[in-house]
Amino acid sequence: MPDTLIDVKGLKIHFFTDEGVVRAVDGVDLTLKRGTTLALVGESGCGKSVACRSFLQIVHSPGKIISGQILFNPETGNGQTDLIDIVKLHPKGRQIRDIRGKEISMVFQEPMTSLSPMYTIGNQIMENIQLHSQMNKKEARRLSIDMLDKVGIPRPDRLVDEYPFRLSGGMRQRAMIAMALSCNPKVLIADEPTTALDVTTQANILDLMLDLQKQYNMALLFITHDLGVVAEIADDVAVMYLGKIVERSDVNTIFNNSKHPYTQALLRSIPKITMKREELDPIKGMVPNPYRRPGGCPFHPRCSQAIPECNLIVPAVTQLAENHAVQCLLYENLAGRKAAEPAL
Amino acid sequence: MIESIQPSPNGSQLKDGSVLLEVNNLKMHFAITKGIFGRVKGFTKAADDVSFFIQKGETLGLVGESGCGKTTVGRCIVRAYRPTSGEILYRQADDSVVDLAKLRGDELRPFRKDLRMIFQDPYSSLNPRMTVFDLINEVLKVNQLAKPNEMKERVEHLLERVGMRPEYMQRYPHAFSGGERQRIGIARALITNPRLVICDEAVSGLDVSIRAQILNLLEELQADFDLTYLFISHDLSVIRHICDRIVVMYVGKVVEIADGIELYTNPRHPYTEALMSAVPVINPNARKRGARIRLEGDIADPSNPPAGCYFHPRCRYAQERCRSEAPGLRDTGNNHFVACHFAEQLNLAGVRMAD
Repeated sequence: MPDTLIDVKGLKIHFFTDEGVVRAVDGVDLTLKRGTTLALVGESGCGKSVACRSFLQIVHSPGKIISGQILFNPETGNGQTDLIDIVKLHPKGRQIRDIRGKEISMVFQEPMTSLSPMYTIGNQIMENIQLHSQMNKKEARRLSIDMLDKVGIPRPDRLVDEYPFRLSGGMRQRAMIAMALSCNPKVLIADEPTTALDVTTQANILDLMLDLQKQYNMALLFITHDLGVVAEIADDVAVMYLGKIVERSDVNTIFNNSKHPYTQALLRSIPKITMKREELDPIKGMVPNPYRRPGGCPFHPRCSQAIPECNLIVPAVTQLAENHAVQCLLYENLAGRKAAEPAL
Repeated sequence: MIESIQPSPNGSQLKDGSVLLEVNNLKMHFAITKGIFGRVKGFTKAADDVSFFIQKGETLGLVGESGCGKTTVGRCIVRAYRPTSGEILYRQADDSVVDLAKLRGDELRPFRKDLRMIFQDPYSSLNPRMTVFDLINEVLKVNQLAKPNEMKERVEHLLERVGMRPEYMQRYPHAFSGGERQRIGIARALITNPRLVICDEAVSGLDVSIRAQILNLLEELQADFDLTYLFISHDLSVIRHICDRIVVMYVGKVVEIADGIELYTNPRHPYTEALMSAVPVINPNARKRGARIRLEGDIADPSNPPAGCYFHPRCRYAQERCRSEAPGLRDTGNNHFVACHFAEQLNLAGVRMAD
């Protein structure tokens, strides 16, 4: 069985608005391996959420997948695998609806807005179960209670009949995770699942997700802007800036031996709890307006190591090691490649 | 419930000229009403017997999880709320001391310019129908702090100081990004030359790279304008970075007060220990998984708190005494105040500092 569960190649998602085209995701390559955790890091507006929504074909209008492949490699039983290109599936078609919530599940940031206020927790979990299996209502309800129990909700047999507003933020996020895991998915996409939570609750939810990952051998795609969370849970990290993956590698390389100036600057700009007080070293300027993207490398106006070519040439992916890729001109020469032609 | 009047941990501090503000036994109870006649059903004790002091020129951190009452305390100090009881003693520029909690209406007006606030959400805290100039100038007008011909110059000067281009001051807030709006919010707070600025989660809504810029700016401004900050945040890394002393709150009560490094390396309250242990460390080789303290259950309901120590249902060191007797805040030496019966006996783990 191949190691790779989802292989994203050259994914481009553009938003066609009245003011112009926003290249939210602009040629992204990602690999998610079975049973591992990939963290997708970036500041707001870098396209990390949109990229992940495309895995379920739920990119909202006016966004469109322009090109690229999302190769999903699910098991079909007895060691065989299937190869599906999610990009080719119709967003409302039978096939993607079978994948959504069953093979690939998603947990969203806002547990209040992503649960329906009109239905009980149990109703919402049962809906997902009954959609994807032949279970009757009674069995589905029993499974819902089991799932709520698994995610650490106290008195699950009573809470199953509660409406979401009765639960605290942490409990709601647990219910959301129970729903996402109810069909035993192969991939769980978690879009900033702990950002709205307190630190102590966050710690519990992270532990829970990792426990469940081990138990179900799930792959976890974790979207966050919090580098502390990344250091805590990720196996692999992809750093995103303005629709591009500027660097990807394993978690140790990213934190101890990062190469891209953006990754390095991000790491320098966060206050660390274990460090003595010193002045922070912020990244100058701000994320540019998406309608007016800088030419060349999108990071060059803020980059402290920019060279004159940076505003002309779009850097290509440079493979520094087997598991370390970076998009930066500084390393293209290093890898012994002549600078690419002025790119499109 | 046992109501114990606790000796203020800093009783005589205000005699010391270096103390700018002292909060004593501050209580803010919100009535929970029911039915169309608004019958009072109970009280949410958002701040319950909170005492601390702020020295001139320092940054005092106020940390705690959501719903612990930290914002309520900040709002009481600027008198956006009228406290239920307690004292807020403020030392004016001429060294006389006034109790802000007792003042009403117009009596508060002279203090509005001394105590200013920076809000969390730079999107909802600026009126979208006013230009940047109007937003900042409004403060000058209301407080009658500048002659009309001086106003423009003062606003321009301050905008420049907070890192904005004065040419843009005729624009509306929507034209600016989150970080720039927060700079406008800061300018709005500083235009009156305040003495105490309350930063209520001032950097929580910002991206990492912008957050570092704003934190640096706040520190520069503190040095330049001789400011004192009360920095309210739930982010322990940010608090660690910017604060000299830290107050930890849990369900409306102060549980621990200590100097920054002392609190992080040597916490004496089990809740502080749990908070410290929950913060992710930015080093993949030092993962705390498994070793982390798990707090069971949810934060207590401030309208119906448990008896005794509010933290006891989640505390792993809780004993019989904790269930019945509420601990008061007491001095354990080294400027370290703790509200725990067993502060001296417990050997709690803090954050291990990197070399």
